Amino acid sequence: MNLSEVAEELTARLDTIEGLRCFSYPVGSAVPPFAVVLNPDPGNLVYDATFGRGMDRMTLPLVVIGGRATERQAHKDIRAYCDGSGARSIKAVLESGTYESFHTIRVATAGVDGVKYAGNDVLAALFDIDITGQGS
Amino acid sequence: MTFVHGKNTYINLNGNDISQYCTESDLTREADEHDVTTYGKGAHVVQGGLLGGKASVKGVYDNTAGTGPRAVIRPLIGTVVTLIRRPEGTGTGKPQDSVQVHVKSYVESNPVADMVTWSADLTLSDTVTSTTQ
Repeated sequence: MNLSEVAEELTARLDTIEGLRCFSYPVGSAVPPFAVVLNPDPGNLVYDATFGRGMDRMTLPLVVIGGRATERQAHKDIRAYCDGSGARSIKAVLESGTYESFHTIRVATAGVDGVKYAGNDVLAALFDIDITGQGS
Repeated sequence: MTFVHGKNTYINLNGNDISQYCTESDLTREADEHDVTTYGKGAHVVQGGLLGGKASVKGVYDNTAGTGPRAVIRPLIGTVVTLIRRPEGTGTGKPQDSVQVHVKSYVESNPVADMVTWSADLTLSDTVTSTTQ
């Protein structure tokens, strides 16, 4: 698997969600809501899951930045991205895509937290994406 | 002398290189043991018998037509085929074990939150031929 190709494919797939802008790197500024596919944390890109460079595996973090934490609509919006199904469900959209740079994808976990963005307290949905693909 | 990592282990079953689908493999060589203890002895006395053994292979399921573990191993259940195992991987001067094996079982396991995996149990048939590649 090529990390950049994986991130680009995920970004392209997320771009199909109406109203959500997506980036494969942490942008300096953007208008919420927007999603960023981040790099794997240390230890979360695992080589040699099978013999002979057959399979590699990684957990990619994904963050969706929403509106201000004090706005009711912001909570409603960010929860929609965490839904298990539906047009804005990150899990449903990502897992229903077809990809060439890896074999399997599972959006394993999600959570919502408050973060500081552009000087405001905003809501963010945080996802862990489990991906496997050819080692080499 | 150096330590050897397992990631380069090579597994070939019935002419099919299935290494890239494998995560673990074992090759157990053993022998029958006959008790020949007689009266008056203070401890067991044993004598070696026929050689035998077993092998097991397990890994991650892959649906590649023709070469995936399901496509290769499932049709071999109940048959005797050649297993080639290279414990240090492929390369000149490295060891290789070749042996006929009875494909005794093939198991697919499906955990709800992880990859589909498979395993196969093999019984050695006749002696193991150990050579240098």
